[in-house]
This record gives sequence, structure tokens and C-alpha cells, in this order.
Amino acid sequence: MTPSEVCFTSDRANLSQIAEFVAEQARLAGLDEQRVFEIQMATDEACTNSIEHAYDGEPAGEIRVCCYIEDTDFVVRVTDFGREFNPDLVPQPDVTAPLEERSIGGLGLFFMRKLVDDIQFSFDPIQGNQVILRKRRACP
Amino acid sequence: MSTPSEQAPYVLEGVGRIDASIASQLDEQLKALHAAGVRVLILDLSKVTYLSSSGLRVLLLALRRQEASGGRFVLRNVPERIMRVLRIAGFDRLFPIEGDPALTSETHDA
Repeated sequence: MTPSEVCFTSDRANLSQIAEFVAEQARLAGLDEQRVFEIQMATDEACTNSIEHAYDGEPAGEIRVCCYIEDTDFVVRVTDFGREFNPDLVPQPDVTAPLEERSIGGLGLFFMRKLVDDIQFSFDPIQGNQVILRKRRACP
Repeated sequence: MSTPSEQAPYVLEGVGRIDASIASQLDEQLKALHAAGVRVLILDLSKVTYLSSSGLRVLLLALRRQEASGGRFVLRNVPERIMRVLRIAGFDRLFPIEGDPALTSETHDA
């Protein structure tokens, strides 16, 4: 499987196309449907993050989604060129808190971390924000 | 959307993907129903294929809004895949959920 990269604009309407692209690539890489769903959702959350935070909801930004295989992993790299995103500044949601104490932020990042085997964030003024999501191709 | 009655439960049917592209629209719809005086608001998820954190946020806001005014917000016919998302976020403990999940194990929609 050769790396496959697609560029999208940061329009929320593109999220379903991005999901389809990643699902197709994940199936080609041999992931089962459960894993396909998980990497797809993690990617959706990463792209939503780019749209909402890096580009403040502006639909004209650029988001690149690249899928490739590295050893035992199926990898999705999401790149945007918006404002720096620092995951350490996002508060962790307490998913056991009662309704009145539930905060509505931080869930996207929580899902990203929960659904993949490894996740890395980086920022560079030229290279932009990069999120690298890794999913094992098969059960260990 | 038909004219809501204040007394009868109002059932809103979700379809397809509830992601960031649709979340604010759903939020407006749920707000409008609350403003129209609907006390028991039911969201049927049987035709929903995907729910992201953007959608979860909207559901949480609706639950708070309905309960704050003495009403209810209920999730109905939750497909297993959507239920997993609710469980990961701990939302299965916050929301009243009705309907047999076995009947709606998988739905395929555009």
C-alpha cells in the first residue's frame, strides 16, 4: 500500500468525505470493521479540531490527510496550517461526573486518545499542526 | 418539523452522520422545540450511523435544557455502534435510553 494523501478545505461539509477516504484506506490496510470505525472516528475528531480551533471555523483553510502503513501500524497523519494547537492546554473531561458537573469541552481529544493505539501532536510554523494517529492493523 | 404540542412527547428522528457539520443545526432544532414548550423530547437514533463529540455536546446541552425546565430528554433506539460512543463518554449513565438495542444493532444509511 503506497501512502495516499488527500487535501481538503476546512469546511465542515468535507468531514464525511474524509471519513470515507480513511475508512477505505484502513480496509485496504487490512483493519477489521471495529478498527476501521475507531480510526475513522479519531480522524474525524482530529479534523474537527483543525476546523474549529486551528481555523476558528473558517472553511477556506487547508487540511491534509495522509494514510500509510508503518510496520504493524496503519497511520493517519492530519496536517493543518492554522493556529497552533497545544493538546496540553485542553482540560481532560471527567467522563464519570454527574450531569451538572459535566464540561462540554475536551471530548474530541478524549476520543482521539481513547480510539487509537498511539497519538502524537506537533507544531511547526512551516509544517503546521500535525497529528499522527496510529492503529495496530491486527489484534496483538 | 411539525407543530410541537406541549403535552405529547415530541419525537425527533436523527438520520445519517451527526458530526460537526450538522451539530449546530441539530442544536437549533432542539432549542426551538424546548422554546416551543415541549416537555418530553425524544431523539430517535435508529437511522444515525455516526455520532462525534460535536454531536455529544449538543445532546448534553439538550439534556440540561430539558431537565432544567422540569422536562425530559430521551434517546430512543440507539444502534450498538452509537451506544459504544455514548459509553466511552460515560453518556449512557446520564441519559434516559429506551428501546431494544437488539432491534437496531446496525443501520445503513447514506
